[in-house]
Amino acid sequence: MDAPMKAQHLGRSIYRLGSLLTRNNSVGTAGERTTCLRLTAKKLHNPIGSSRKPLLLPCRQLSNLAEQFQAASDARRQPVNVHTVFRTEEDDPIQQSSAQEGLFYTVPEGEVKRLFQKGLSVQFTRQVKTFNETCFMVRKPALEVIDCLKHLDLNHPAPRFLLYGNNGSGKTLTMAHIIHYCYRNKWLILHAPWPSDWNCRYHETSPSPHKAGRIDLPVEAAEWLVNFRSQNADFVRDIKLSQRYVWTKRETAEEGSPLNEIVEFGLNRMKFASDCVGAILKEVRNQAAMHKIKVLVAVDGVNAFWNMTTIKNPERELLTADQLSLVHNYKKMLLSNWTHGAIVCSVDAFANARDHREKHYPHYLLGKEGYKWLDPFVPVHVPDYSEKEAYSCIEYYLDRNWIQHEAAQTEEGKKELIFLSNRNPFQLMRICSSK
Amino acid sequence: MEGMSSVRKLCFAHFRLLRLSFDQTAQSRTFCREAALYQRSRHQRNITEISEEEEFRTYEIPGLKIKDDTRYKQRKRRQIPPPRYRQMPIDQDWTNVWPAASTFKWSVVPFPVRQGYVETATENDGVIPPKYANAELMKIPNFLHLSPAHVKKHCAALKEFCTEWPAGLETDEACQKHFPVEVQSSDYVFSGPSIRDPRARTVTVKLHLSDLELDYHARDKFIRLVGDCYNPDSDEVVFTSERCPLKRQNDDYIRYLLTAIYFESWKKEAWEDEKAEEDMEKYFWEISKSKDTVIKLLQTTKEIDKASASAGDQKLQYLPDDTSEESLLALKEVQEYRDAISECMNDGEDDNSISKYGQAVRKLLGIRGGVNTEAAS
Repeated sequence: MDAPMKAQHLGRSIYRLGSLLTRNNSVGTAGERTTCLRLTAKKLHNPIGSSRKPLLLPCRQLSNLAEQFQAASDARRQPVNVHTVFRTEEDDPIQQSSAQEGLFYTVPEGEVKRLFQKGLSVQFTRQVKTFNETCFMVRKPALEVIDCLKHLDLNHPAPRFLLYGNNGSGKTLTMAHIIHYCYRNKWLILHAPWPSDWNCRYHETSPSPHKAGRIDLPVEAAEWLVNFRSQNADFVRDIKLSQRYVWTKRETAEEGSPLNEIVEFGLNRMKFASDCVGAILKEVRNQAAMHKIKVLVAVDGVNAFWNMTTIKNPERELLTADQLSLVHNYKKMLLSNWTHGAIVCSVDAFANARDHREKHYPHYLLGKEGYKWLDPFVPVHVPDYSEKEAYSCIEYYLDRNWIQHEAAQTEEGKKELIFLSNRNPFQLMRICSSK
Repeated sequence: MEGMSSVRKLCFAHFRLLRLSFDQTAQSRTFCREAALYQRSRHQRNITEISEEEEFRTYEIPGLKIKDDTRYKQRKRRQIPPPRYRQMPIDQDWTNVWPAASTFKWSVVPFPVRQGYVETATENDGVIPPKYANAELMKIPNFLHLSPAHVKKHCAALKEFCTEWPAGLETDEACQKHFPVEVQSSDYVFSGPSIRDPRARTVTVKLHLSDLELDYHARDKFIRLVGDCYNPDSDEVVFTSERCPLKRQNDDYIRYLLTAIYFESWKKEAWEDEKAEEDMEKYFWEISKSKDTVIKLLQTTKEIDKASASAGDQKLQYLPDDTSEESLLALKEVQEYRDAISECMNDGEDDNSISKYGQAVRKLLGIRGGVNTEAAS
């Protein structure tokens, strides 16, 4: 390669970066902040001259041929990639818009601890621990739902949104993003992270003291209470009970006492934990409109509510999920007969029994009963990564030194990763990790 | 010398005796007795020879003298001619080589072909066996007797028995239109002690359901009555009967069956009105729970809108003041929703129908934001 060609090559790459940055700047003037961490002046510092403003310098301003040579060889050593922008500093989901689509934002550590004790997949949690930060990608389905929530008329009956998509396409993380938005926007969150566990991975069962024939899951209910308390620390003190709850002859929750009391009682007397969950849900449903509290009901893998459990009754018959008091109570939240709230659910093939996982469409996964229960809902498709999102994800992994193979730096390597994963987020994560 | 001559005589006498005994081959018993005698005499002769010491026996070293083995020489084998396929001219008539259906013959088939399974790379050097002495090729059926040349010959032979194709039936559609009912049966011809074949009694009748005059109810009932005989993909009804011993009887039976089912499907019994949602052949929104839910939801929404004093921009604009069921059902939004959910349930879900359903629900519930705003802006 002779000298002019090298110079030209460098010029092109700089121009590319320049246009990228100007675009981001123009976005910035429109009121949204976007920055690119990787794209600091570090990459462009020396070849162009340290004293000058580093960006937007076309190559013809280089003074002499020697300098051009130097610049060209430097540029070849550090291949400049268009896709290096993968991160946004806009960590407030309220402010995010389609300008940030495909970029990662970091959720502050404290909020992760508070919101996502449960509700993130095991693999993702492990990755979070390794990367030492929790990053969500801003994706279209989440933006869509958040936009709907922004424009919601809270006086109307709660609308229902149903996320559906392929296995591993990011339904759970989309929901986590929505929950994060709602948390920032001061919503009360009723989050059931993975109710399929209630059906088959329960710890212990006991007959319900409230209603004969129903089954309580004390440990799961207590876990839910803990999660509820940590997600809604501000609300549990403010909401007062609207009626008196009698647990036993001696133990009652008086009218007007804070919701916190029921949570504490449920945790102390695990026998009544399931009933406490029911009471909390009922109170929230009734008082949302009265106290102008915005309520988000989030259920991941909602189709588990209409499945069979592995629990057997004394007649040795398997129970259906709605015979669990937790499920029974939660299903009431999914009806839109209450106001000042929104319901976001996802259907997941993995919440179904093994022989009912062929399709990812709502009616197939929910079954007739479930569809009847949720209809009319707004289906929100969670697609696999787009080209841009896939590149962004790979860049993020490279940035975290998660992919250390040299080939991953090259365009061919990235393309290979994208091809192998078929742009499925979970598959990409699997391929890029050693497992 | 005397002694010697006597020995000679004795030997001679013995040989004569022996000759005699060989002459009488038919009498084996005599021969046996004589043979025993001969053995004994040979023994005596040996004694006499040794005692005589006239000449030494020569010791023959095995292998030293070249044996005359002409007697054992193998017969000269006939030379094997090359297989037939090597001797074939290129422009031969294949129908003469392979006139009728036959098992695969490697020596006749003029092209290379391999068949079989090689389990490991070591077996047969990892190569699938060629056609020579390949039993696998003999097991499978071949169509070497049905080459285009064969078919041409068959057609030429059959041509003199054919009649002219009727005018106006050039296309399949025309045939279908003028002859909607297709009756199939087979005759079997063979030489044997009996000319009857039990398979000849089977009769099949095919017709398209659309050719029958049926209304919605009758069509549904017809389909339910015929059960498996109806193929929804091709809209075809196929009746097959072999229950009667004769072809004619089966034919009559199917005609009767078709007539009976046709008129039965037009009848409507009193109990048919009791059909519930579960019994329906497809999804009807009007009788589903979805309709009740939506009507109730819209009525609630309207009540809330009426009660609230806020600006009208948050309300569902399209709802009329009169929220009776009839007026709600007449709304464009509700009808659109009905069509969308019916499509989802009846034609199966896919991305397209679900997104259509989503759009309908957004309009129905007045949900703004998301896709709608982006599309609008």
